[in-house]
Amino acid sequence: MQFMLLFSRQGKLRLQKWYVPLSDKEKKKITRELVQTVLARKPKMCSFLEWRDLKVVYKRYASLYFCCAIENQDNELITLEIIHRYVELLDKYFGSVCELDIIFNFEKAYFILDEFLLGGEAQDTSKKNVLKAIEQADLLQEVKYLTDPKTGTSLIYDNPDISLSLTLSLLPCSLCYDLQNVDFQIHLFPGTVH
Amino acid sequence: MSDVVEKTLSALPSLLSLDSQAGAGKLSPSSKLGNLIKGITELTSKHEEETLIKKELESIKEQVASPNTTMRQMKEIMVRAIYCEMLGYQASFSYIHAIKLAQQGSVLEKRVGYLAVSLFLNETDEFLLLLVNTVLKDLQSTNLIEVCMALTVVSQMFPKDMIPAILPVVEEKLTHPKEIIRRKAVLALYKFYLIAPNQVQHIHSKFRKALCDKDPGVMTASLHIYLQLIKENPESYKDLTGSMVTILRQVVGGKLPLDFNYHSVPAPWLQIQLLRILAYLGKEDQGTSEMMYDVLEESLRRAEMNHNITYAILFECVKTIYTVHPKSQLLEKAAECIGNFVLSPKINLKYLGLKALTYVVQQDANLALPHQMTIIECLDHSDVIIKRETLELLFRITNAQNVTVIVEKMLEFLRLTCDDYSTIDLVGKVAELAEKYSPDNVWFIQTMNSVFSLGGDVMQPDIPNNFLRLLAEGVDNVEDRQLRLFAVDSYVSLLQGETAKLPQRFLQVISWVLGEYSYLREEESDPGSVMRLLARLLDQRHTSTETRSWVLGAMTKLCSSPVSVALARDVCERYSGSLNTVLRQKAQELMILSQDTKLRARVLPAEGRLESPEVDSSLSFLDGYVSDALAAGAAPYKSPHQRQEDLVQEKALSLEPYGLSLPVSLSSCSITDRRSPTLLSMSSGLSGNSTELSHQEGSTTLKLEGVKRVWGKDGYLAQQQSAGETPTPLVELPSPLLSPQSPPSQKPSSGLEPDQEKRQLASSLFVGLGSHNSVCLMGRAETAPRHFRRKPRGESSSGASEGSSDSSHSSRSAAVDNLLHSNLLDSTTVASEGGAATTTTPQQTSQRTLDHTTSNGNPHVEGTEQRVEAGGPLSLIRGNGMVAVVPPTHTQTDPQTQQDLHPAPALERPRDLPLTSHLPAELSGLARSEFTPLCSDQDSSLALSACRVYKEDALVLLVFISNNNDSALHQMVLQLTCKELEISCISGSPLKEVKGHSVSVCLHTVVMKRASVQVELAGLLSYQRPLGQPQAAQFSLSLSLKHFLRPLTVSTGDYGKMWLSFSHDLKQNLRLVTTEHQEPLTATLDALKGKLHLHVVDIIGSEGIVACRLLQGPGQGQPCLLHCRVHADSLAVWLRSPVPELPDSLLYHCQKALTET
Repeated sequence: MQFMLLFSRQGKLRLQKWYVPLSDKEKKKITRELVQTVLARKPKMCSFLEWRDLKVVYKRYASLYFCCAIENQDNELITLEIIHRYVELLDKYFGSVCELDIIFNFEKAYFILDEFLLGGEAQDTSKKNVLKAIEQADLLQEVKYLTDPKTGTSLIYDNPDISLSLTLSLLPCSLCYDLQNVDFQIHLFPGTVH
Repeated sequence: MSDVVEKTLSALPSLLSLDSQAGAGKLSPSSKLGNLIKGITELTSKHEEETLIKKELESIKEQVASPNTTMRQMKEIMVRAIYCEMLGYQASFSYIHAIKLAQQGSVLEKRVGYLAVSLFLNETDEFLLLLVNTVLKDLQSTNLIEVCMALTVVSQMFPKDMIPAILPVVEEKLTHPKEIIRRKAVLALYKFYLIAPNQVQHIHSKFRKALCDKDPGVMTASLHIYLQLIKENPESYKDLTGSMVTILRQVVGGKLPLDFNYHSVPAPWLQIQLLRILAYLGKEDQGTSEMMYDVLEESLRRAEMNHNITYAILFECVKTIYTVHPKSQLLEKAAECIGNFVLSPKINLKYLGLKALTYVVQQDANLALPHQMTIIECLDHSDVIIKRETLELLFRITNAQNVTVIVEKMLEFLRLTCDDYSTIDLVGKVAELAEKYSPDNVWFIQTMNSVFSLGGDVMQPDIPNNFLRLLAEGVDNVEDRQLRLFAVDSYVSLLQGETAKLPQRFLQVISWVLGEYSYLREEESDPGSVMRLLARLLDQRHTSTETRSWVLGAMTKLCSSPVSVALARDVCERYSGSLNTVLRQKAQELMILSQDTKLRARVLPAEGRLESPEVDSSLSFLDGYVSDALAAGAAPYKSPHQRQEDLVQEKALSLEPYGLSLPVSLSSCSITDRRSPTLLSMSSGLSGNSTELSHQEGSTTLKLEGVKRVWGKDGYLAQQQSAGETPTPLVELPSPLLSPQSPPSQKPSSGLEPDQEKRQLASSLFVGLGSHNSVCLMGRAETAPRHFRRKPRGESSSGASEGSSDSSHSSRSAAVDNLLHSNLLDSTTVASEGGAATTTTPQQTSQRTLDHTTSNGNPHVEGTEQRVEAGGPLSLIRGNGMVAVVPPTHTQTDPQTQQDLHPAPALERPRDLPLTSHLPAELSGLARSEFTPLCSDQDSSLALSACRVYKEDALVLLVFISNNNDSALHQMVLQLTCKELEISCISGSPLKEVKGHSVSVCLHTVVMKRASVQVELAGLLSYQRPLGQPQAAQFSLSLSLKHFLRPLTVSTGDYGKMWLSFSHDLKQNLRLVTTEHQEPLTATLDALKGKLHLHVVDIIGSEGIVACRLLQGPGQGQPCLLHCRVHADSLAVWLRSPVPELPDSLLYHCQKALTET
């Protein structure tokens, strides 16, 4: 994988991970162009893009776009599943994740990503292991964090369809109380991709 | 920079904890970051955001610089800095503090520090050097979390030069009891392998250990490395096939812990990785492929669940099945699988189905037939990506019959697209198809017009260049005249219209063609009309300066009639005062030439147009000067890119292989299609106005390189059989001669009744695909495509034989798989083999191939070749004073036997016997030189002579010491010294004495240390006679580079790959050898082969490729490749080698060898 970008429907970058060395200028240019291209695509369209000389695999979860650039011989579908697994991990970690969680705790989102993908390759695809590794690190000195009550909603994966439909967590995001922007509050997993 | 660290270090207030927010794991909106984010969301304009972030950055800057900031606060600050950077604002001042945080923070702080470092910095950043010690410390930490963090950051970025510093510690981690550490260590090594493969070479055995790790996670991680290794060199890892198959079987069988399941599919990532590895291993290797058929079938069978992840596995499986050696049963299943993809209503799967089809139709175009209607529907799909992929598929199945429809579709797409990348790619493809399959002149010119106007100024420059060359080349027959005339007419009418929208490149093409060929139409129109059009173009505002100079060039060629001259003067007056020097010069030229008719007739003769000016791009007239200078010790010329590389090398010890010397900015496709030495040579000396002689190829071949050809001329045999058993669409496929209404054999499951129009389209698109259709075959023969092709000039000199040699070339090209240099017409026949490409039967083909070889190569050479192949390690070298000895049946070369056979038996009466009998038995079968006397003493009681034996892996130098006196020689020591050579004695024991009247032999193997034209070997023999003083005999022996050359037997495909990877090159023109019974090229190459022991890899048309290796250092030596092209009456040779000096020295010997002939 060459890089991974997370951006909102408004085109705001939420997370960026580059696995190839590029200059800041190039990164910015790629981000700008790619965000534009992806946002211009209609919901029913193909999740794969041939963009410049790269192949881009993207998927939208609620208001967030997850976007990966891969090499030509790489498998597009498995990349789509990498994105999905990452969202699952976020969901499990934050407990029904929404964009807001990622905005305010983006460093956590990075930690999870680093534990899942290392140097652009899937490192550990077991959900349990990844989260265990993250939590061990968290636990070491942040006992306080664990006391924070968080209702982890279990993911039910009941639809064999390729489009993902996970149970919509109806719990309001506890963190959104004083924010006006409603867009943030949509959970990533309501399966808006249909 | 270290000052900053020092300062901050010393001022570190360790125990101050002022940050009340620290430790809040979840968002606390009252935190500073929370405030910042909230602040940003409340803003309404970009400008406000800028101001806010600037303020924020100021405050961050202040805080990080403050000595009172704790590490804990620093962590929080870093997070904010990361956030600002993500929004696109530079926070470079915080980079050093990120490193500091990673260095000094507690575990959690360290984690943020490392994260910030990995987000802020690049692999090449010098700041990273400051991190090395921290990483090293953390790697050795007893805290697992710290080790993990260090390994994580190392796997993401690490300065290449510093790898040795931490490599031992990382290696050590491979045996760590915790699997997570082992896994990360493997991935870190993978990263090292990617950035500096040489540095981890010594731990390959440890990779094997990782592969056998009891933890599946570690094993999976090790596969990343193996995928890379196997991709680069599948041959060395064939032994792993069994293991890989076993692992895959276990995974597919669900033997892994449930943890590895992903939505109840066992370890899909692992499965895909293994399938990719198997594809590399089984490629073009029947034996290895057979090992994996079972498990591939099982994978296909197991992956039946209707879920994305199983489709991912299926897709990879299909790809593997089509890459490895074909097995009909599996191929059927895979084809079925592709069908499911294509027919799927899910758009992602449809896309992949099309992609898979695109891949497989290159092997069997008929696979596209069942999906005709789906493909038609995809052509009009609303998603541009699907459309684009469909065009790609159509591109692969294009033949002479459907070319017009497909090109029309591609142009349609081009008119709508505004993306430069697809425009460049598609325009190239249209041009390629037009050139290859064009049905007539009118269509060709019109299509190229569209290409030029759509491709505009972004297209590859070789498209217009090729087009012009195509117009310019060729004999002056009616057909060519028509083409040119039509082009001229078409351009005239274009210029009469609105020219503002035409791209500059197109205008340049137009000007050139009008300048060269307007005379063709002059009979029918008034002479000044073209001139006037050009003058109008010249004055238009949108015309660029470059185009203007093309226009002026064209006018110079045209100003023959009085009307034109008047016009030209008018133009000159305006432009001779231009600020642009080029324009001014062109205007001056025009002025002078238009005034002086005689001069004009001499400079631009009307008849001479067809013969393009001879441009000696290799500056061969300087050859003598250059070789003199080289001989005098001047440094060989290095091209700018070489110098650049050398500079880079000097700066940093780059241990990586050289990158491509090609500009890699092109789309991947065009790279594979256009790589070739000739093309490269073109770009060097091509100015638009002179048509270069280089032959364009590459773009006419359908990506033959890298594409496995598992299908023969008549398709895969087993496939044919199965086609006979089951009803296949082949029987029903619409043929060109049948009515276009013939229904498609399979309707798409969508249930939509395809309308007439689509059917018609289908029949026009898929026409000519069924190779087994006899009607089709006939139809094809009738409408034999007019191939636009280059006519090699060298060929035309051979007069009457041209026709036959042409056809033999075409059959040859059909027979050879990887044709690198198929500059001749008929690589197209290879490409379109799905259709009845040629009407020749295989017998005919082989017959012709045979004819070809016998007519080209002389039988003597052939025999040598055969014997070389059959003879195993020994090669026979002929000519140039070397005696070729027919090899005896025993050809042992292993050192054991050598020792046994040595030393040579001393004989009683040496004078009676020739020295030949003293040759060691194991060397007697090898080619050798004659015996050269080295020296002898006054009374000739002692004589030394030498002989060179050309062994495959070394030059064996034999020094014969003949003692002609009655008394024996004692305490003999023979020393050979030469600083350019590596000399090692292979005599069993150093010989001490030679009895009276006997001969002793000293054997030395000699290889070169560095390539040089000629070396002097100094020898010293010290000895003592009984009752005498110690004596010494000195001698010297000169050895030439050619003694160290050996043929390098490579395939054309390998040659192509090697060619691209070598960076030191040299071009030169050499003289051609002419003989009566051979073509000049063949004769010349034979001469070189005979004298310099080169291997002629392939001769195609006027080009030949030759390879040799120089015995240098240990192993097989250093390769050097030669690419030779007949260029008028000289041979343009282009040498490439990984060794800088080799091309020079070899060229010298080539020159010498050819002058001696």
